[in-house]
Amino acid sequence: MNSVIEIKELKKKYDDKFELGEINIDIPSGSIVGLVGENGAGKTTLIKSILNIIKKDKGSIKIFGKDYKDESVKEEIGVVLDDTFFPEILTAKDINSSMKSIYKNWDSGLFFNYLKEFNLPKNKTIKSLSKGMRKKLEIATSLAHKPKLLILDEPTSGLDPVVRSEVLDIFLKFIEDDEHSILLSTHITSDLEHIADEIIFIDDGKIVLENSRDELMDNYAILKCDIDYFSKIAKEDILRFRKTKYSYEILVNNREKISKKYQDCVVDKISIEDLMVLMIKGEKIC
Amino acid sequence: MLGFIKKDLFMIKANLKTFLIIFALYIVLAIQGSFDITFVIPLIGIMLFITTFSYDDYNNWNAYVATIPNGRRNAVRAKYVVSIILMIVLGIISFGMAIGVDYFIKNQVYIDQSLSSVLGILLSIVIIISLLYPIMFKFGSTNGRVILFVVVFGFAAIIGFVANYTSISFNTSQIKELLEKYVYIAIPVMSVILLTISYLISSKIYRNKEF
Repeated sequence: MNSVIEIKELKKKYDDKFELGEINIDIPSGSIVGLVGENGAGKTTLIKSILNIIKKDKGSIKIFGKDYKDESVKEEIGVVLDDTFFPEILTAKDINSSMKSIYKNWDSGLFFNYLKEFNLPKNKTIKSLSKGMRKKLEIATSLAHKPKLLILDEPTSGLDPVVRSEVLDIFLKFIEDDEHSILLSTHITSDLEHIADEIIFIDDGKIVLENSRDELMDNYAILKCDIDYFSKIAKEDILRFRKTKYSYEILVNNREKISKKYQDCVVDKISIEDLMVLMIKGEKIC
Repeated sequence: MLGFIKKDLFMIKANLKTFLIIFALYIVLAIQGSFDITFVIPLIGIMLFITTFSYDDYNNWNAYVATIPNGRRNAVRAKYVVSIILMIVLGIISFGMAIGVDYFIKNQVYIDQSLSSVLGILLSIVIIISLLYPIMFKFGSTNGRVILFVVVFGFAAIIGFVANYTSISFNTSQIKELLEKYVYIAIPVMSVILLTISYLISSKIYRNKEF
């Protein structure tokens, strides 16, 4: 499969306080890649670097095989950014009128269809819309110029579960075309369990784990044992651990093997959220 | 660029009611002689347009612009083009109003005087926006306006200090005389030069800015 986004040794430093480490990412076409990590981990910095909203210090970024600064590349990208959009005194109708003079492939019919699907008013100002409605308007805007790649920073934040499910269905429909791809960051990790093909964990500006969703969810697991049993667990089996009041929660890989090896313990399937928490907050055995 | 021009014009349209109320208020005061009518209309109009920078900042529009094809270039261009369109339209309205007011109040029409007065105020606006736009693109709309005041008052204070405490004297009468003599050529030429320099500086700032 062709690469849609190719990032090599990307670095971005902010005032000695935060540094996006040497990031290497290859996103194949036809996939949905989810970026997860806690607040301030570097997800938005990475997305802003890819979109040239901020300037990278080092490394290369290619989108559709072209340099990321190439203006023609932007015709093919739909964007939803966290808290960034059209001025609030404008209406959806104004957005349509402006955008059809900006994007060559802007489809007004498609835009108004999305408005209808999302129950969004055409003539109300953005400031009169709820946070969820604004987000839906941003999503409709990102899709209406028929992009091949969606780059979305927290696209489902502020949406209720019903609308979130509708939006995720739209993303899944979008990805039915093999040439289409999505890179999205989210705090709502359950969304990724539904739609992501690949998941990238970012912590403190670095990629700490990158794998397919199926592999992560099939192989990784939480082994739960009491405090006495903890010492019997082989060090090489412990990726991370967390001590609770009466027990230990241990992040393990190769679930089947571990289940057989430690039959006295409970080995549970892991959610992306638990995986993220243990990867980021869990301790390592030195 | 057309998309960005439309967006700015829609923002003006959204604030049209406020524009018209303020205009009406000042026009009444101008008719009563409190203000020069040629001064009021273009200045208030352009000042209200400058509020679009605040909306852009408040909604983080500029980060979104960076993701749009040729966005960084066209967003800056659109601000200057819309400003020029506004100045021309408001200048014509202002000229018409000045003629109308003179005709109805004094029963006389002073075409030359009204025209040079309108051109004079348009030049002042060109000077203001040529200074203000690069500062606002660099520092944002709120900080930009504060910095402009500091620059203008700082400059005025230095001139005042030099004029009062040194033997250097500023003779502006010659400049004024020259401007009056060649008003119809000098003002458009000066405006084009100032706006071009300002646009080039703003473009460079905006092209390299992080949002």
